[in-house]
Amino acid sequence: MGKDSKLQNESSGRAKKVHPAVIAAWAAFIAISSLVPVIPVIGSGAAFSLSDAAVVLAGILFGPVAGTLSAAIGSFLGQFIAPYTAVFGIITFLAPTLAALTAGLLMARRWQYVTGIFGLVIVVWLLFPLGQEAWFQIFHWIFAIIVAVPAGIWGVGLIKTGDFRKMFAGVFLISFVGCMASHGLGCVLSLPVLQLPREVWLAVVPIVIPQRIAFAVLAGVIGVPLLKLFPRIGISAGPELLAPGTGRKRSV
Amino acid sequence: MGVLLLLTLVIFIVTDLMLIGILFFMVVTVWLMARLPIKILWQYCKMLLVLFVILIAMQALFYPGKTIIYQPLIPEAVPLAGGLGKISREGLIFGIIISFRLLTLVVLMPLLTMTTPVEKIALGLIKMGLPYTAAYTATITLSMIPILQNELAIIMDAQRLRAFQIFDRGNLFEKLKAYPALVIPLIIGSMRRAQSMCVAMDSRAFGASKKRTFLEDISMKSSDWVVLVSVALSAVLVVGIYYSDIL
Repeated sequence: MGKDSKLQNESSGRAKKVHPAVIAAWAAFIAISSLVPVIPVIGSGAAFSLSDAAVVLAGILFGPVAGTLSAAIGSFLGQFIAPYTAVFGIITFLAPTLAALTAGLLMARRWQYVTGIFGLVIVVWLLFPLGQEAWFQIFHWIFAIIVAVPAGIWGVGLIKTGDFRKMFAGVFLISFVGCMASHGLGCVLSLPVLQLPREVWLAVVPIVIPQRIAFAVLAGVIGVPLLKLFPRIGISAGPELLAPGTGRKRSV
Repeated sequence: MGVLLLLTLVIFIVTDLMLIGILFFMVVTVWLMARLPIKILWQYCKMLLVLFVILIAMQALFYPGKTIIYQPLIPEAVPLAGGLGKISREGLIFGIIISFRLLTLVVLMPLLTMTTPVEKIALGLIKMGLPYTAAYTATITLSMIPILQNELAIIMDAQRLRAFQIFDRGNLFEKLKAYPALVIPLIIGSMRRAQSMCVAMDSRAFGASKKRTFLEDISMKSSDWVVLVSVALSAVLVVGIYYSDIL
């Protein structure tokens, strides 16, 4: 099965690309994972879902292009399955898509772009009067920038080692930054829609980082076995899709 | 899709109770005209009810309103926490506006998905310039979702049969440790299915021809243009009223 299916995955001269069927399978997983609650949102009766971890794994497993496409499709369809979670309407899917893009860019060792994304989030946040009132929020994204640099430099290397603990560390670092990117865009979108007062932003400050750490741990515990298993069933994923060190796609 | 994006943009901009009320009324009218079950609308309201209560409470407590309808629980003279617990009329109204905006945004999407077949949405997206591969990927994703949902339910039932109750009763850490047992068989199963699909697609030379033809074609009819232009004009009117001194 292994060798044959690898050929199936990389057939018809599209060896450098992830096959649309594989992208679709992951997108379907993202869509249904929006129905699996993980972390309850205190007092609201709602919960953060498994899809928050699934979208960053899209970037880690399939890179910045295929992973982002998979996350965009999965999240877009997920908001149709569970419309009550789409609090920003039809553009709700943009936040998880950014998470996948960020994780994918880190997998391609393009951490400079990731710092640019967070820089943009900070600038847009500060453009809103409510954002200026809740200026302390930007420290979350500054922290994410600080983590993004080692994640971009060493993340893929750690994943490539093949050692479970080191792989977990790599996936965790990259996932954490991806989750923070999703948080950043979510916060920016919530400024015009929810217009939450400064006091609410202040109250959630201690929760943000631990919550994203929990998502990153979840991405790690799911992602590491998948990075080990995918090549065995003939699916090219993770560093295997990228040429060593360059971040460019490997020609087979 | 264009109408949906326009309305979303307007809802993002407008923060006036009357205008949001009108928008919500319009959306509900279209919902009723499309003969969609009102029960679903009510379900969404119930699901979001707790969130609405929280949003209204937060705005009522923290919005810098001048008309106080409930005096602070803690006297103003107390340092740091002084004045906490006062409820303003403006805050209460603003909380209601925000809740209405949220509900309007949430209700907008099913209007598209419940009235238009997926194939037509995908075709529409292609006509709007989305690459065929991306649109087709979205279509096959849709066909995979019910299969995966079914498989997820089967795996969860199988684990419950083996007295595995962490997802029902476990704490966060137990759940985090238990997720691979639920998710990995599901993903591996769906990837194996995707591999069979890869063979089927490649054996039919998927993507070989750049110029595609469609069994069913769609184009903008005059009625579509009328709807699009009238929604665009209404959107401009609503935003214009919002920024003018009329209200």
